[in-house]
Amino acid sequence: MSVKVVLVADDDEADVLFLTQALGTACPGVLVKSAADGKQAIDYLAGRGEYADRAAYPFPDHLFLDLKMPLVSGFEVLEWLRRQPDIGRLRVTVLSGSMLEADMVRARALGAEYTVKPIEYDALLAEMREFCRRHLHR
Amino acid sequence: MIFLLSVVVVLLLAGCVWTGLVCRRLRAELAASVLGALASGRRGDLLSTTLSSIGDGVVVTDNDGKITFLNPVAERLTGWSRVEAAGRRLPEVFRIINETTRRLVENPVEKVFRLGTVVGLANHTILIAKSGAEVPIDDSAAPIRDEAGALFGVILVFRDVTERRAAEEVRARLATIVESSTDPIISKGLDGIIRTWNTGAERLFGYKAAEIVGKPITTLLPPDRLYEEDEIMDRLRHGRPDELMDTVRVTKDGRRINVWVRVSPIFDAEGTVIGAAKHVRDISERKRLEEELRAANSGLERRVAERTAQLERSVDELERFTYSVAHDLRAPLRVIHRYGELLLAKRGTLEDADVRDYLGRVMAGAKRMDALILDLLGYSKVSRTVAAKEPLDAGAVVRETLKEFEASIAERGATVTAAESFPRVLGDRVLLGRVLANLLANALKFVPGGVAPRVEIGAETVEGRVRLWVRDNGLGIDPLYRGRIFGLFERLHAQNEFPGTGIGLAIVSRAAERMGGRVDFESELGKGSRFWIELPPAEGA
Repeated sequence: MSVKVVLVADDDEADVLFLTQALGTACPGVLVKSAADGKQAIDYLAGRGEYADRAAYPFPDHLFLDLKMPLVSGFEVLEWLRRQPDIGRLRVTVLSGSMLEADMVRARALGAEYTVKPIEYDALLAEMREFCRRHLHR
Repeated sequence: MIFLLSVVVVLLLAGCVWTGLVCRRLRAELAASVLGALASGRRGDLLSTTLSSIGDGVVVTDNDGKITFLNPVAERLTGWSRVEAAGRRLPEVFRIINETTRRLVENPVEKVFRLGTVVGLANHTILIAKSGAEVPIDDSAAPIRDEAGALFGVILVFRDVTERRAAEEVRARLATIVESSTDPIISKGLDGIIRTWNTGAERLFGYKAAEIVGKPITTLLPPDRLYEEDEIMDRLRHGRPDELMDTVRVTKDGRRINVWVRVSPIFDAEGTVIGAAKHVRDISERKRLEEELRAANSGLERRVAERTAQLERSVDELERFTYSVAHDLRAPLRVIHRYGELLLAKRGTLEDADVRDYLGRVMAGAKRMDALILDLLGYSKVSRTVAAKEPLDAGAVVRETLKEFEASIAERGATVTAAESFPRVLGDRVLLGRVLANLLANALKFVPGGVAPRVEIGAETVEGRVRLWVRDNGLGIDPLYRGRIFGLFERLHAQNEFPGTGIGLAIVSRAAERMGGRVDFESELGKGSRFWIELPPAEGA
């Protein structure tokens, strides 16, 4: 299955911006949607409120998830997601500033890939090219 | 027939090994009567054979007191041979003195002649051998009569009591040791009656031996421990080994004392238990020390537990701190670096407005980094502060804080009212100032757009503690997030809505904790919140 829609859940505007740009460059044609915190992410995935409009907010093929977000953390989103019978198998990449081993272990235990947000844009772009190679053009 | 009789006598003498006057007299008497019978039968050879085989020393005299016979034991003890001694008067060969006075003791043969009966020697008699060697002996002398009853000699039977004397000495010494021991030692019979009572027992229990010997041992037991005696006796009867016990006994004046008792069975010669020796030791002092040690230990355990809890809190905090640094501190650096990269990559092609925008973002990132670092340092400082717990005029701290916020209040068009009077509290002026400043800053900040902040500051007493509160008309807090808002770097809003570091309430919580107080809040989403800090009231407030 090729990836067409990606949801980015991150409260950091700049991070969303750079990630969207990197994805646009690395995987042309991918639609990037965003959620500004964990609560919005859950609402989006569950199709609650305005997100019920799947034409405007299509269900993603992949989720990029920040960990430290206001209201609901990335791990809470991930745990919630894995409990959902219909959408629980969504592929997730945790994209966090944290390099803590505990975070990586926990993310992997919840069936997510883990990528530390690189400080350089070129490194981020390289990560996204790799991502697209593995998921988009398969 | 005579031979048989002599054998019986020898056996009797041999069997009568334990000493004692009765036995001694019996020996001499028997020997004398046999001797009489033999002599009258003129069976001299048999006589000498018989007496020679006796284990005691035997000396026989005629009725002049002249020696006619010495058996080998007598020869060895006196140092005189039978041949040498024959015909000599007894005191020449059998020199005996009193051990203590060193004076000659009356010749027993003369005494027999005089009294015509069996005589025993006084105790402490020493035989001085021919060589001058001294041997402690006991002896008895008996008249020898013929069949008609006429006295025709005396027989003297004696023995070396060196070993017995030594054993007696040891026994006497042991008795003295027990008697004078400061450790109480008591003995009792199987009937539970006290038989002996030493100085130590006297000292510990207060009873003199004369008062207590003959009384039941249960006199010393407290009523609630009478059962112990049954158990002890039971074990004794079954010959169980030494029993050691920690228990309680009662003194003459009714004091209960902690003692250690060792009960050892006393056996008779046949190995039958006939009573018990009780070795008692006052362990009140040990008990007291144990008690002290226990108290000290539990104090130590408590301190260890407290320390452990402190350490766990520290570790927990360190982990949260690390977590926060990992998650939050690197974000502004990414922004700075990436816009720097963009500026570099697109240099020469960028519009001025874009350049300004990118540089603005770089500077905002740097500023945010600075704010995070400053707040973290502030939090760390509060965490490490040893808070004063001094009487404070809370009103004065409130007024000072309001003064600091004058500009910011005016800028936001806010209304802030404070109660006229505040109770005095115990706390730290600087920390309380930080708490109030953070609460006031939040009250002014988290307000829906277009709404003028209205803030009230007041105080009340709740369950003996002073509650200083700050009420706002702000956004309110969803009960869902109640648990996390005092955490480090916890934020309920996106940066572009309400910028901040997420450290303010963590500082408030930590500062309250340092002062021995606590913080909490009540809130209704969309209507506002009321945050407070509770502190102990100052004395007499």
